[in-house]
Amino acid sequence: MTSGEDFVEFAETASLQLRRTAFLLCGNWHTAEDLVQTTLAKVFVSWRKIRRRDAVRAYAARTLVNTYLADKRLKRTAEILTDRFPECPVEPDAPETRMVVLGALATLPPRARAVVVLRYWEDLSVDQVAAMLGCSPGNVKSLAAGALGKLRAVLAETLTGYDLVERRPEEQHEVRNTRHG
Amino acid sequence: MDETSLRGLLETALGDEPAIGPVAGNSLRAGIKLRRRARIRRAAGGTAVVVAMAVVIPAATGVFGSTAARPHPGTAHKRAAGPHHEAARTGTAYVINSGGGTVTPINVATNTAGKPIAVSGEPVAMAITPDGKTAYIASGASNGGALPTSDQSMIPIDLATGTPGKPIDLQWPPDEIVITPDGKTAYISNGFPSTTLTPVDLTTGTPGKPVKLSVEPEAFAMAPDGKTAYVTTQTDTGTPPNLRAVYKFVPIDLATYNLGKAVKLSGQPGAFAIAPDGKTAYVTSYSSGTVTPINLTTDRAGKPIKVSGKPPATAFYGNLMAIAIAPDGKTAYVANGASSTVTPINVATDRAGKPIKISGKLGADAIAITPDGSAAYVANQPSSTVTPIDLATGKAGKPIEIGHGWNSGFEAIAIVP
Repeated sequence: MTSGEDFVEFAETASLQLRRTAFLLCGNWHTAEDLVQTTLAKVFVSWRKIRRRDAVRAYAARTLVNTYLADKRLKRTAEILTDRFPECPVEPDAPETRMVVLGALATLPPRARAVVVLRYWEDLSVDQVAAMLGCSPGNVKSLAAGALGKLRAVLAETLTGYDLVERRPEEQHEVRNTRHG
Repeated sequence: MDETSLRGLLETALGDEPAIGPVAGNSLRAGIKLRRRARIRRAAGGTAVVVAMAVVIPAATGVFGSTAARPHPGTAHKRAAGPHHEAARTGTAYVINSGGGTVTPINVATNTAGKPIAVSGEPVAMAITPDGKTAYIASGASNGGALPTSDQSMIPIDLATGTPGKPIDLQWPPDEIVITPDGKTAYISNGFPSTTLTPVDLTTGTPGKPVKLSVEPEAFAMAPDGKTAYVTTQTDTGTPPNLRAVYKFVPIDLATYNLGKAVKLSGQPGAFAIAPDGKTAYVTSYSSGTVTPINLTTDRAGKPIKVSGKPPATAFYGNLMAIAIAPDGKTAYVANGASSTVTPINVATDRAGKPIKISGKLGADAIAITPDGSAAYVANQPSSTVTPIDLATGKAGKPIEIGHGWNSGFEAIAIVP
């Protein structure tokens, strides 16, 4: 198998999950796909090196986050929160919650948003996130705490009764219903 | 808000996912382009040079005959220069720039750059016919695509007029190009995706059928007799994630395309050059900062010659990116991109001499030596310059500015008398 063939195999299996992560980072499916494409291109450059390690997925995630952050550094105001989802005219699954969560994520600075996505979406440990972002675990913890506080505040304003504030049993039940349609 | 609920919220935020585009294919194409750029920056920028030099050397020895009357470049740079070296130098150096899609001539007598010659696509390698009349530029698709679509070609340039001729279309994206000493055939290598060599009949301008190789060629050069080509390859053994890279130097019989006995290399190979007598190849390793001589008669690797330190894993710019051997075969010159230096290696003793500093802090991407052996020209991508080195004195001259900054890709330089 040439390096190209097994790269394509990896890219095909990993691209959907990577795009989800990218979407949570940037809030736009088009940009997310671009980010994934750039990320995978960079992965291919080092493919022969990284596939020898047990690190392809982690390398890809790390490249994705760094690509996103580099992109953000270049154009800070790129994300505009209007007419965001032209490609998704139908919103059957909790449309309001969805918009509110995306809006809340968009209030976070890029690095804080990356921490949230890596910690709570990619399920990485504090140390892993620290290694990815090239900062200390303490830095990750404080970024995460700050980000969660901000998310709580923003979400509490709009999603009344969601599991952000004091959660009551019946509300929790309601939330589950909302989430799963 | 606990972690589970946050994950749920994030999942909600995804909503309905739109269908994904051809991300794998697109990223592969973009990756190939990036890899080529990285290759320029990291290591093999010199392989194309080697290719060009392998062609120029026989022509040069043919034209100039004995080299005994000239100072020995390996030792002479320790002595003071005689004024006659400067006066005698003639010829043109050609630098290909993949970023700008150009070939820039440099007048070796005056060290001034001429008007760049625009070629289609992204020029990646160059070889000049032994008569010095035509340069063939291997050009990849400029859209970054390297899949077998179109757009990849070999472009002849009439060096007397500086005019590009009709491109010869290639089935696979070219990596390196060599021309036989009789000037009748060019061979073009392609590592990814096809692992092939494609012969091109230069008398008719017709490409032959690509020949599949069982190894993926990286650096590629031909012996001076034109009968054997050599490639460096990397294969992985074991199963992921426990793969281990094995680096080899492999001869290919150009009459049968059979692979000869492979020589195992200790470090990751960068560029290599073959001595004018065809008896020894010198392979740089940018992972270990050494140059390994390979006896081509016995197919045995000699002791690696230490040239520079091992680069840190995070090094942005690799070392030992290119190597060229003086026409008299006595000195090999290794370009070190990490320190912008050129190190002479005395071939008789296999010892590295004192590095010669060229302009810039970073980069030394390609090197070629004039056919009379009096000067080397070193292309430096980060500073967009080509620095001439007087090999008699070992002194770098004033850098010649060409190119387009970081976007340029000085993949090869070759000199005709």
